[in-house]
Amino acid sequence: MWISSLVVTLPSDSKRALAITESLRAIAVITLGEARGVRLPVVIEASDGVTSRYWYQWIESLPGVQHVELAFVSFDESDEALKIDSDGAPSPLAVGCGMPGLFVGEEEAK
Amino acid sequence: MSANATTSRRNFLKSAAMAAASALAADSVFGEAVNPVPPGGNELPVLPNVTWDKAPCRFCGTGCHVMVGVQDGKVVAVTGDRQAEVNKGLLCVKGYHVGMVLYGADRLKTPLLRKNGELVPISWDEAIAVIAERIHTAPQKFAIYGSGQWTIPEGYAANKFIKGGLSNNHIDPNARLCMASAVTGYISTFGVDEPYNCYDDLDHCDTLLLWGNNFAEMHPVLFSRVVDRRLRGESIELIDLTTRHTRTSQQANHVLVMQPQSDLAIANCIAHQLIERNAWDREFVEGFCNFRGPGTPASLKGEPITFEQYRAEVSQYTIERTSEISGLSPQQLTLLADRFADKSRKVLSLWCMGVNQHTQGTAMNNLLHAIHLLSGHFGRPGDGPQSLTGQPSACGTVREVGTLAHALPGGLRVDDEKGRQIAEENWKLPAGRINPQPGYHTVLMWEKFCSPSDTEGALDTLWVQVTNPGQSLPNLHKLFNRKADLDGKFLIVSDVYPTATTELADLILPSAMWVEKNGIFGNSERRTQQWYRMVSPPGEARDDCWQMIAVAHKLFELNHEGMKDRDGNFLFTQRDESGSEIPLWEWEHYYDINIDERLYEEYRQFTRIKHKDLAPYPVLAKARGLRWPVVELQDGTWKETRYRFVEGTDPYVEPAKRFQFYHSVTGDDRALIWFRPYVVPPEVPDEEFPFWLDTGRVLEHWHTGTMTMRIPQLQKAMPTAYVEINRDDASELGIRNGDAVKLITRRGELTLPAWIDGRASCPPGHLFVPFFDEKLLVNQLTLEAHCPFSKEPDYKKCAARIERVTL
Repeated sequence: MWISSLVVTLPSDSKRALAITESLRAIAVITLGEARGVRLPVVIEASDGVTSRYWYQWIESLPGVQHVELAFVSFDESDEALKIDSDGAPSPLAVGCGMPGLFVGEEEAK
Repeated sequence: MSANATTSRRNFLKSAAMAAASALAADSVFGEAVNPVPPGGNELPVLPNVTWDKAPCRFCGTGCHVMVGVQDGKVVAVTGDRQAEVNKGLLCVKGYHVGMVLYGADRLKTPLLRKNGELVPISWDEAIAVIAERIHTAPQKFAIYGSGQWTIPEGYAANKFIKGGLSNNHIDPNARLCMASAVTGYISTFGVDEPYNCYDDLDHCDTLLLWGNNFAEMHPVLFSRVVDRRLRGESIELIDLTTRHTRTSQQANHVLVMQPQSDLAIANCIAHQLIERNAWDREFVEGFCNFRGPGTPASLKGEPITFEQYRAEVSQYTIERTSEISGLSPQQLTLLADRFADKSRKVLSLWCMGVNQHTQGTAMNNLLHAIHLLSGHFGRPGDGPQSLTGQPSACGTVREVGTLAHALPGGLRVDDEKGRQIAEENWKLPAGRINPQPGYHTVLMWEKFCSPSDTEGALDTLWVQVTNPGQSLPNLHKLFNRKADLDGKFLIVSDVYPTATTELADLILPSAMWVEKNGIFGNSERRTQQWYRMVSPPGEARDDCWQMIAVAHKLFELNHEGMKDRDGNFLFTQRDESGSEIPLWEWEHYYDINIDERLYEEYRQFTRIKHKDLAPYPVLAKARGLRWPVVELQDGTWKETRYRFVEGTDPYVEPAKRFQFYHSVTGDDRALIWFRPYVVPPEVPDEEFPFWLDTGRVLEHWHTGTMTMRIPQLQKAMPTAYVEINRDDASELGIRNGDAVKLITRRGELTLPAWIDGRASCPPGHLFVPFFDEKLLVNQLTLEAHCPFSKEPDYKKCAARIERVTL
């Protein structure tokens, strides 16, 4: 189990902020804390670090999210899924990584 | 672990995680705190049997502080240090994972010597003896290649060993590759190195102008200050002057995409506009500045010119001509000039590798200072020019300790008799011990090491510590790979993991890293930061500083005269309270005293010479870093300095002076406003190589990736290098996203995946490749051409061709 926490900065527009909050609340692995103004504390429970990273980037990509800051990461548990790829090659499992679209699907150049 | 115990632990960690996030959410981090940290307090996650201590982050030059949680001799948690002024509890994605750098599966744990082509384990005694024998046989054919990741005591010891002990100045750090142009820029403008200002500027500027600097990814915590101010409703204008769209551009009010190298013309155009409009700050310039031209031939010292001569030189850079050179529109150039012409705004210029890794790096640094001095945008918080660094102690260990080939500690130089005398006195050496001839700078050092042994001036033994030149040097085929084909070369590498450099090493020494040893760093804003050892290194890994002292003592045992001071004592002699010498060269006694403190206090005497005074070690140990000069007040407390040369904040500025550049090149307390011309780069795209190739970093990885590629989260997030290519260029070449493409320059070729419209995007005719991936070494392709004064190579522009690979 991989546990991390973030502070998500919401837009000042309350309707958009509410929409984001509801989107987050719908995800089982995400627990919301008490918002302080536009700053919303969030805890992510993921099966492994890759999934945790996926959720981090998913939140970051939500329309209207201004900023995401990491607050805490636990990293004292072993995790098979977190082992470095032995050949260092890009893995098709790297969904949600920093290179979206590169190894997923066949997006064509114009 | 039982199911109940697992659930309990998970709930506990969840609580700790939520508490940390809630505390962070409660603060407006860099503004007025809603929930301020009480003095001396720090709300740390409460974890059973975990002890916490402070340390600066191991990665970049920002100098964030982390709190490190240790349990049973192992680092188990890291959180941002809310007491640290630099980051106020924030960390970037690398910083949060910094604890994991210690625990990669392939840590080096025993010395390895290459015998008959194979690396075989040997004892430390044998390793130290092998090095000492090599040096003893040919001390002038020996060199040290160090790092801006050396701690201050490590760099100081290495400097003293080679310059004071071996009378050999062949020592240079990897920081030559990242900020040497900033050094020459500061020295030739102000007479003394390092920024006069500090990060506080980010909290006060009205306009933040980034010169070729992807600030959002490279210094994300500092960038958070900008985001934070905007969230609080403050208006801060961000101008991104860049050669490609990046994450920084996404946040910018104005994105000005310029042609590579044209920054020189743009800066001169701004100066011309200020004079044309009569919007330059006459009072400031007449009171505190002199003018200087490059001279014939151009030199670092240049020659004095008048204001009229300066006006004539910059008048060549009209809006129209500069627009042609830079690709910026006349409106965009006017916008830049408007900002500098407006004294009611506070304008902060920031730069890092885009300006420094430049064949005209010194010139470009000169020009950035010049437009701030000319416009009077200088000296107020938020209003000035500031360079950033990429390594945690590029400033502390390289610039201040003087581990560059021409330097001595405290800003002294080997080619200056007085400087040598001071160093010889402080080191208790016989007069004349220090060699007055500067040693080889980085590019020259590796050329000399990769030249046959019978070549004049060739180096035969090279000791690398805390860096990875086999990946980070430019034009690797010429400057590194040739070593494999040469006889008589011996490469020693002290490191924590196998790297591209250890591939060719003859002797590998396993090193302790970060909180496995005591340390002191100096960050980008003159802040000196101390930490204590918290855990033991694995296996037989040992401190780099110990390695240096052990070799020095082995040479002393071999009766090498240089390892003796003028009284015949060992160069690094330390005594206990009873006066007995402590055998530091024996590992089991190395921590009998805090050698970091001893070396630091010895070094500290140098720092007062050029008004870079550091705090005593015990004071530093209590602080989250202090910005020099740090001076003692009458009440016995120690005060840091936010702004140098400015009356009221710098203790060395005399009353009623307002500004005093007290190390002025011209000896009259004035700074220099330089003219430096636009110069065409040494290699430009042509028919055969029609693209510009730019290289750099990404958010997830730090430099050559030797640490971050061993952190699974970061490796998975960005697993491989890629070439960023413009969509239209890709379409024309039949390249699709993810296709393997061959990238070719005059120096080599490399096959890697293409990335179109990804995190960043290049304009037509431009390519970008990050350099973190040891399996895809882009520096096989880069150019070693360098700035004539700083000797810093240009990694940001060379000519390339790209071809789709047909499988």
